[in-house]
Order: sequence, then C-alpha cells, then structure tokens
Amino acid sequence: MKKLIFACLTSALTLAAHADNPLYETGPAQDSSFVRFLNASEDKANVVNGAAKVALAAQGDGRVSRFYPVKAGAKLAANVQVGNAKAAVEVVAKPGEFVTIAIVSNGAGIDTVVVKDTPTDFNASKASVALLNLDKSCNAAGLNVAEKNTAIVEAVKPASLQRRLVNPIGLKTQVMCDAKDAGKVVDLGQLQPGERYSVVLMPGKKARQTFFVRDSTS
Amino acid sequence: MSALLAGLTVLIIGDSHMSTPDYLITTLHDDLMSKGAVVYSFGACGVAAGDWMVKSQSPCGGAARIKDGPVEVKTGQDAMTRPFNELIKTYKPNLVVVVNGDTMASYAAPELPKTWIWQQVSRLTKGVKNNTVGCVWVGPAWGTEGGKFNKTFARAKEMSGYLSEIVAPCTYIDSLTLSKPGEWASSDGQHFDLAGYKAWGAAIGNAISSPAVLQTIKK
Repeated sequence: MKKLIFACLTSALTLAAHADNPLYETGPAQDSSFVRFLNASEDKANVVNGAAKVALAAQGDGRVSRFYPVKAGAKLAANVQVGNAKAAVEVVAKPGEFVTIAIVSNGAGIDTVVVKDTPTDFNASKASVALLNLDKSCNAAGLNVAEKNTAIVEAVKPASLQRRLVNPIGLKTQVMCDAKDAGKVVDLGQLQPGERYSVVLMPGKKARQTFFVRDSTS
Repeated sequence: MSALLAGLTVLIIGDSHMSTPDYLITTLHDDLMSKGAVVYSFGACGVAAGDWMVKSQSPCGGAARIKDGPVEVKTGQDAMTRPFNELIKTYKPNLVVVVNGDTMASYAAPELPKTWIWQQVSRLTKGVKNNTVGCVWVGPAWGTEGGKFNKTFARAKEMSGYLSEIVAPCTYIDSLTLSKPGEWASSDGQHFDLAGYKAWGAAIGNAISSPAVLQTIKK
C-alpha cells in the first residue's frame, strides 16, 4: 500500500513538474538589420568606423562587402575615403532592413548613395534577384532576361532597388535604362534555390557599368 | 509494431517539445521505433534552429535519448545543443527530423521577425544540404491562446505558413493540420499534456511514414 501511495505521489509530482515549463524567449523583440558597403567609384575605397576598417577594391567582387549585422534604430556613422576625397555617412536601419551604402564618383569628389531594402520574399525553393540602381541619370532602370526582353523588374528609380523571386535556373540578364541597353550582359550563372542576388547599375567614368553580387550575410 | 520504417535511422533534434520526458522525445521517438526505425533524439529547450550548427547553451534544460534507452534529462551547463555535423557523423541518419518553430515565433512581439527566422532556418538547412541527408521539419502546433508565452492562433498560423516556404530542402510537416485549434490541452499555451503529445507524436509519425515523405529519403 505504501508503495502504491509513493508511486501515485511520484507520478503526481512528475506531472506537476511537466506542467511547469520554465519561461524562455520565443525569439527577438525586433528583427535583424544589416548594412553593407559598395564601392562604385572605380578607385580603391576605405570605410572607417572607429577602429573598424573595411577596404573595398576598385573592381571585381571585392567592391562589395558582406552585409554586417547592425542594431536596428541605432545611428551608424562611418567615414568613407577614396584617394584624397572624403565623405561622412550616417544611417539608421529599421528592423528587418538591409541597407546598402554605395560610394560613387562626383567629379573630383565622391558621394554616398543609401539604398534600403525590407525584403519579405524569403523562399528556400526560389532565388531572389534584385536590381539596384545607383545611377542618378537613369530615371527608370529595368532588368531583362538577356536576349529575350522578358522583364524581371521595371521602373527602378535612382537610389532604389526592386527584387523578384525567380526559378533557380541559369540566368543571363541585361540592365535597361530608359528602354535602352545599359552596360554589358550580366551572367549570374546557375541560380541557387534560397540564394539572394543583386544586379548593380552604376555610373562609370566612361560609361555605365553593371555587375552582380550575392547578398551574403556571412 | 510494424516494419514501415525498417532500415531507417532517424535523428530528431528539437526545442522544448523534445526536452522533457513524456513530450515528443517520448511519444514521437516511441512511434518511429514502433515502425521499425532506429532513433536518436536530442532536445535543447528554448534554442533557435541555427543554434544546432554549433554547441549552444540551452536556457532551460534539455534531454537526450539513444535508441530504446531512457530519456536522459540534462540541466544547467549539461543542457547544450550538439553541432549538427557532429551528430550526422556520429549517428549516420537517413532522415533528420527538426522540431522547431515556437522558439522563433516571437509571440510577445508585434511583428514576426522574418529576417532573423530566415537566418536561423538557413543556417540549419545549409547543414542539411551539405550532408545530403533526408529531412522533415515539424512546425508549431496550435497550442492554446494566451499563457505565459503569449501564443496566439494567428501568430502560430503566420509562423507555420512562413516556415513552409523557407525550410526546403526539408519537407514541411504542418502541425496545424494535425489537430483543431485548442484541441490538445495546454497549461501554458505552448506545451501539452501527455494525451496531446501522444496525439502529436503519432500524427507526425504517420506523416513521416507517408509515401510522399519516404520517397525523399535515401536508404
């Protein structure tokens, strides 16, 4: 009988213990935010924030940093330098926002262009392709499938971005500016499901340039 | 006892639903074993999906169960995730079952943190892709509204819909289709009584045994 009472008590205590789960966080109070730097000046650039320094190449993949995680709502200040030209930039990222700070030439000096993206199209079966328009002389940029004139995105204003989910296929694109070809064909290769890409239109010293970058956060 | 899953080695990893005896670490584990699978289960309460790629401390306990052994409860510093790649190397599963949703839904926040969830889920699914292992992802169940975690049916539905789009290559198991809202009793809105966990475990086991899921697994 004592054994039975003990067993019942143990069972009751166990059930009570199961019912009392400790409280834990079910996620962050606000969403993650990111900032990256893009060098569209065609010369080497340095970005300095306190002791942190990011060196950006003049050409190729090294022109663009990865997206660095930042605290949403906090003011972020950095100094940008290309040769002797300097510019200061300040941004505040909202929760869930991806901010691109681009450096562009302006005569002998430089300007910074801030492009903000709050994506809601995360999808592991498709690829996300964006067109980022850094050319203030291009009022309506578009991205077509190369040689097919099929529009992926249209009417992208300067200092802005549009993106679209596409099937993960091999993709060559042509940037359009006011309905004319801008820059060379950009070959993104075989798109990977779940990956995110930005095709960039930038004002070059001689002519408009186009290239693509993966929107990497790590 | 059946042989539906004979020849299959299953690794289950998950959050609080896998961290207490009589939760899914008992009922789902038993269900898959009764169908002939060899099962290894690991739970770390309160962790997000990406925490499974490295050794991460659980804020509220954990548990492990190897094959037909007992549930070993872990507390304090012993309650950790084990890195996914190490688990795959050690147990060589054909199928990984991820039980994770409630710990990323930010029930107390006004907005679903979609970017953060994407990051967390992508970290783990990258591990799944790199190891070319079959995978199913079990999303949150309805629970009950209110309770100390502030869970709501609307957020559970939003979270489940979002997970279904971002967990590939894992096959998504929508737990919301496995019961009616509030059908399984819960004391805190999120965790169930034994009857609830038995029903949930059996329903997940049936989904895993379906031809649609079995076709995706290399034996």
